[in-house]
This record gives sequence, C-alpha cells and structure tokens, in this order.
Amino acid sequence: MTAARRVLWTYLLTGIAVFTLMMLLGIAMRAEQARWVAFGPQIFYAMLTLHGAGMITSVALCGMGGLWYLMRQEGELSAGAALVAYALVVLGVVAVLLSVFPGGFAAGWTFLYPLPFVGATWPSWATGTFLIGIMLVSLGWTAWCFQMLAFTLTRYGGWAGASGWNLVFKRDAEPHEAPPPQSIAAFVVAVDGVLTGMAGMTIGVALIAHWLSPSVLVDPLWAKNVTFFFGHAFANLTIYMALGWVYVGMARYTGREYHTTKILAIAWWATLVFVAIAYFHHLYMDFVQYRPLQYVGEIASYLSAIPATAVSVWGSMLLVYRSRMRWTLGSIFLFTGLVGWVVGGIGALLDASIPLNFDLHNTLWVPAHFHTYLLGGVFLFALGLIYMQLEERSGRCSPPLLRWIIGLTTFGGMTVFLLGFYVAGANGVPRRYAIEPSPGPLTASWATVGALLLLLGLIVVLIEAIRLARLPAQDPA
Amino acid sequence: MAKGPLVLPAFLVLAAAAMAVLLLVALSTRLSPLPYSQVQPEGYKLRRWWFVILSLGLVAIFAVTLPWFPYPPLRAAAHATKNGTLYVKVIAQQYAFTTPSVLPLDRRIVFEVTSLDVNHGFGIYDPRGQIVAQVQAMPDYINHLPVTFTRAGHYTVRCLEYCGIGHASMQGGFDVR
Amino acid sequence: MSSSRRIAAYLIGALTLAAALAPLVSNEDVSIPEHHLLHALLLAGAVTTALLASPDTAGDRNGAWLIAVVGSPLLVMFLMWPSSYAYLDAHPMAHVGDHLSIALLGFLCTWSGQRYARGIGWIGGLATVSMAVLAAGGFGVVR
Repeated sequence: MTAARRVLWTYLLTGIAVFTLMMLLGIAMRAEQARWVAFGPQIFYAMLTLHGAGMITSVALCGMGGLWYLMRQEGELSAGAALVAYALVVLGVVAVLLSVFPGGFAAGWTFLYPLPFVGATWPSWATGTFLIGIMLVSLGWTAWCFQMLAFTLTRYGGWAGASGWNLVFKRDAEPHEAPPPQSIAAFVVAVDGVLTGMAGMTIGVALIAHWLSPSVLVDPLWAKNVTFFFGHAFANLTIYMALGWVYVGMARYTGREYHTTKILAIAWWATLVFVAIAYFHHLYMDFVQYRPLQYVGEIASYLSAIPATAVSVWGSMLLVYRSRMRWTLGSIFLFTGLVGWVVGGIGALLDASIPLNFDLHNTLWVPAHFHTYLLGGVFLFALGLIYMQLEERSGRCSPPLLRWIIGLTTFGGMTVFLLGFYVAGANGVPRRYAIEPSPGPLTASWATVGALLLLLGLIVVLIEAIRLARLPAQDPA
Repeated sequence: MAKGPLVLPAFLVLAAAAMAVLLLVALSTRLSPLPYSQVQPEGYKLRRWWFVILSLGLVAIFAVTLPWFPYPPLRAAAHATKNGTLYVKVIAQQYAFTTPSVLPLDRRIVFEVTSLDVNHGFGIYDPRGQIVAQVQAMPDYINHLPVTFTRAGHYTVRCLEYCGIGHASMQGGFDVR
Repeated sequence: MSSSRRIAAYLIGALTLAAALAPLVSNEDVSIPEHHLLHALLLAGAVTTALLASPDTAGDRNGAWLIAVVGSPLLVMFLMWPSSYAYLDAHPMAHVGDHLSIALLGFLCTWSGQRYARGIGWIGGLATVSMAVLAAGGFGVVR
C-alpha cells in the first residue's frame, strides 16, 4: 500500500469505527426515549454528549482523509503532516471519551457557557478534560486546513489561482493550470476551516480560563455566538469536504468529465461566505441579539441552497442523466447521499425561516434535519468513497441481489428512523430530553426499530466491504 | 398560532418532489445514453431558470414572511403600558420557572425573560400541546417576548435549551382566562 | 528584498517594540475589551513586520512550521488571560514581558507560515489578530 493510501485508510477506518460506536449510543438513547430501557438522565446525557462530539469528529475524519487523498492525486503532499493532524484529532477524541466515561461530563458537545460550570453533576477534571479534548480536535483540524490551504496555494498559483479567480476573470496564470472542482472545494473548506479553528481556539481558551480561574467571566451571548460559529461551520464543512469526491466519483462512474467552470468557482465563493455567516440562525430565539444579524442569518441560510442545488446537485444530475452510469454500491451510495443532502436541506430551510423557527427551535426537528444530511448525506458519501476504492482496486462490484438487500434495509431503516424525529419535532417534542412528552415515546419507538433495521443493513455493508477488500487487487493494466 | 403541524406536510411534499426528480434522473440511465455534449448545454439552460426561480422565490419568502417575525419592536416598549400591554417577569433557574399562575386572555403580554444561572429556553405550549411561543432565557440578559393568548386553558412551559441533567423535568405553567 | 521593504520592516518592527513598552510609561486603567484590542494592534504590528521581513520564497512545505502556525495563536490567547490584567497593571515589567511574548508569537506564526508556503503567513497572522479582536467581544467581562 502506498503512503497516500495508508493516510486515506487510517482516516477512513478511524472515522467509520467511531461512527459505528456512536451509532450504538444513538440507538440506546432512542430506546430510552421510547421507554424500552432506562439508564437515567446522568448516563443519557453523557451518551448524548459523546454521541454529538464523536459523530461530528467521525464524519470530519472521513472528510479530511478523503479530501486529502484527492489532493494527493493532484500533487505532492506530506503524509507526515496529515498524520500529525490525525494524531491531534484522535488524542482529542480520547480526551473527550475519558471526560464522558468515566468522567461523567454531560453538558452536550456545543454546551452554552456558563453551563458546564454551574450545576455540574460531574467532577471539575471532567470539564477540563472535555475542553482540552475539543481544543485538540480543533488544533488538528486547523493544522489539516493549513496543509490543504498551502497545497492549493502552491499548486494553483496563489490566492487568485486556487480560488478560481483567474479562471473567472480569464487571467492567464501560466504555468499554473486551473484547479479541478475538488481542489476548489479543498481551498474553500480550508479557508473556512481556519476561521472555524480560530473561533474554536478563542472560545476554548476563554472556557479553559474560566475553568482554571473562575473569576474570569465570559459574556454568555458572545460565548453563544462563538460556540455556534465554530460548531455550525465545522459540521457544515463536513458536507463540503465530501463533495470533493462526489464530483470525482460521479465523473468516474458515468464516464463523463467534470471541469471547473466559472459558475462552479463563483458558487464556491458564495458557499465560503454562507458557511461562515449562516450560523446566526442558531441565535434566532435570542431576541437580544443585534437584530440585523437575525436577518443575515435567515438570508444566508436560504441562499446557501443556491450554490448547493444549482451547482453541486445540478452538476451531479447532469453527469448522471442518460449516461452509461454503472450502478454499483459505490455509485448508489454517492447518489443517495445527494438525496439525503437535499432532503435534509429542505428540512433546514424550513427551520431557518424565523416564523417557523419560533415553533421548531430546539425541538426534534433540529436533529431531524441534521441527521438527514449527516447520516443520509455525509455518511453515505463516505461509504461511497470506501466502496469506490474497493471496487476500483478489485475490479469487481457486488451482486444485484445484495444491492437490493442493502438498499432496502439501509434506506428503509434510515427513512423510518428519520421520520420519527420529523413527526415528533413538528409536534413540538423538545430535543435533548431523556424523558419526552407525548408523542415523543411513540415516535422514538418507530425510530428505534428503523435504526435497528439500518444497523442490520450496515452490518451487511461491512461484511460485503470485507469480502471486496480480500479479493486480489486487479492488474493495474 | 402553532405552525408546527403545517410544517410536516410542507416538508413531506417538498422532499417527495426532490426525491422524485433525483429518482427520475437515476432511472434515465436505463434509456439509451446521450452524449454529454448534448446533455450539458440543455442542462445549463434549464439551470438558469432554476437559479432565477429559486433566488427570487427565497428572497420573496423572506420579504413576505417578515410580518410574522416574532421579535418585539426595536424601540423597547417600556412606555407601552399605556396601551394596555402587560409586562410579566419570567425567571428561569435550574430546574424551574418562576411565572405568575394566571394570565389574561386576549391581551398583549410581554414576557421579560431571564435566567439566574445557565441558558434555558422558555417554551410555551398551549392547552392542545402545541408550541405557541418561545424565547431563550439567558443569564445577564433580558429577552422580551410578546404574546397574545387567544385560547383559554392551562399552558405548559417547557425548557427548550439544554441546561443540565434535570433539563427534561424543567416545567412550569399558568392558566389563561 | 527591496530596500524600501527592508526599511518598512525595521520601522514597523521598531514601532511594535516601542508599543510593547507602553506599560513602562503609562499605567492608565484600560477596560478588558480595550486591553484585548490594544493587544490586537500590537499583534497587527508584529504580523506586518513578519510579512515584510519574511523571505520571498515559495516555502519548503515542511510540516514542522505548521506547529508554530497553529500553536502560536493559541499561546497568544493564553497570554490575554483577563484575570491577569490586574496583576500586570501593577507590575509594568511583567506587563512588558507579556507584550513582548505576544508580539513574538504573532511574528512567529506569520514568519513560520510564510516559510511553510507563501500566503499561509498572512492568513495565520490575520487569524491571530482576529482572535484578539474576537476576544474583545466577551472574553473577560466585569459584572
């Protein structure tokens, strides 16, 4: 295995392993909300905290590994630097894990100051360990972003080249060529990622300062803004990282070519801005927030649908439309990932409308939409990437019957699981409740059944992946 | 008015439409293949329409829904007592709300919501169990939430911001009559 | 490096150092947000100096530089610990040491960034300055 592939698989396998563990916690929580089991609130909220922090990190790891590997195909990248970023993230995950089990830290992954310090039912060291863990993840992430940024800047001729500016304004930039779509994605993610990491470090140090010397006070509204800027952008960027290989994969499976166009570059500039400023929608119900920012939040959230649908989804649909598409598990996962992204986006747009948010804010509608595009989007994109690699390596794909079994269990289970959230959210059931009011327990019981079905499907996905991985590698000729 | 139940059908219709489009695109690969040079220009032409319709549509929705934004008028309504507005203090604290036990029907009420410890959410559920209003309860800040109740009965208050392990049991309520 | 650029680097560097010495001549009370913003200015000076003084090469993309790029802003934040401000106001020499460390780290972040790959220095520097500005929004409030 080459060094580049080792980096890819290190990231991907860690991401998928963490994802699987977190999924089990998720099922346990839904089962508790369905009142099938009773762990009690202390354990429930500890699981919730770990689930959130672990999931977001697991999809980020898949995204970082996948996009790094694609950039490695474009030029020289240091595997060592990628592994340092990886090590920082994994150390962070370990610290978070220790803070939750055995530490008992249960404030949620995007807790809002002064929460973890007031009314804590866990020891102070657990709070500190959690903060240090998140800080390490943030450091690893920032280091990765700087590596991507440095690569795109050097490879495509500085800011004007890497951003696509030269292409849009037809400036000749010899000897540098225009970046392919996945490189534009890497550039935009890296720029937003540095901003995100910066905000994460700022709030992280502020909270660590308060932890070590409680006389250092932090403004709660400021803390909320910075926390959500960090949390929102970090979560959002996991999708945009995955788009890098969606572009590449779709082109490969359809045998068509996907190039950077002016429109694509401009769409990504828009994305760069929207990812950074859409987070204001997390503060809609903070009426003291400076009012124009609420409007900015709604408009940015709305408009982010334009580059997403008109460029990435549209472009992928054109690649597929009446092509000689090879429908293998790899391409099916990539394509259904688009479905999850769009459907989750619709849920998000409704929630981003302030009059509707008044009724939906912090109900189960919120996990409904983000599970749709993290589980039904980014996670499927990650499976698509894994299968694409396995299929290309072995030159084989999975038999049709197996594809049907996997499709029905995975997507069927996922739909039932997600509908539980949507129905409960529309009926006002709050999110993050260990014990939910009606109709929470009922919808949680469907959701648990759906999640178990999904788990069954994913076990088949895993077994099939192992089978493909053990096939002899195809002759590269 | 509770809009939650209206959201679900709207979502399902839009989601079904999006899934149908993507499914049709997927099924199109069963037809005889077309060269990409033929698909691309047509697709780009269609995309222009999508871009225009979506952009205008989103901006229009923003503009048209502005009157339904729940925010109080900017010039803080400290003088508004004249026109009969009732100001009601709400204090949230792990894990309970302090509110009056009875509030008037059909009268403009402005809740002045704050917290003594961490962030909470002040979520008001009407007698049918639908959310009718909510605002964050923050330490160091006071959020003003204007509401007029048009339905008599018992309203439940639930915490809508994670505030610690007693979060799910943080409830209050008042009668409107 | 052109001579005008060299002169600008020395000039801004000297101004930044002079600004770092401010606590020796003035012990005026400044609020915590103002203090953060003054540190942002100090950082801006250090970052500009580093940008002007760094060599005009493409950078060697050696991952070791990244440690300084990512680590320096973090350390800067720790040096802006608000509860230490009262102590620093009372101890001018310690305060100058704090300022010099902040400026040095701002310089280090930017310089290392440019050595890693051209263009990284100023985004790292800009991030460091922005963090200090961001901190003024609410890191350390008086109730």
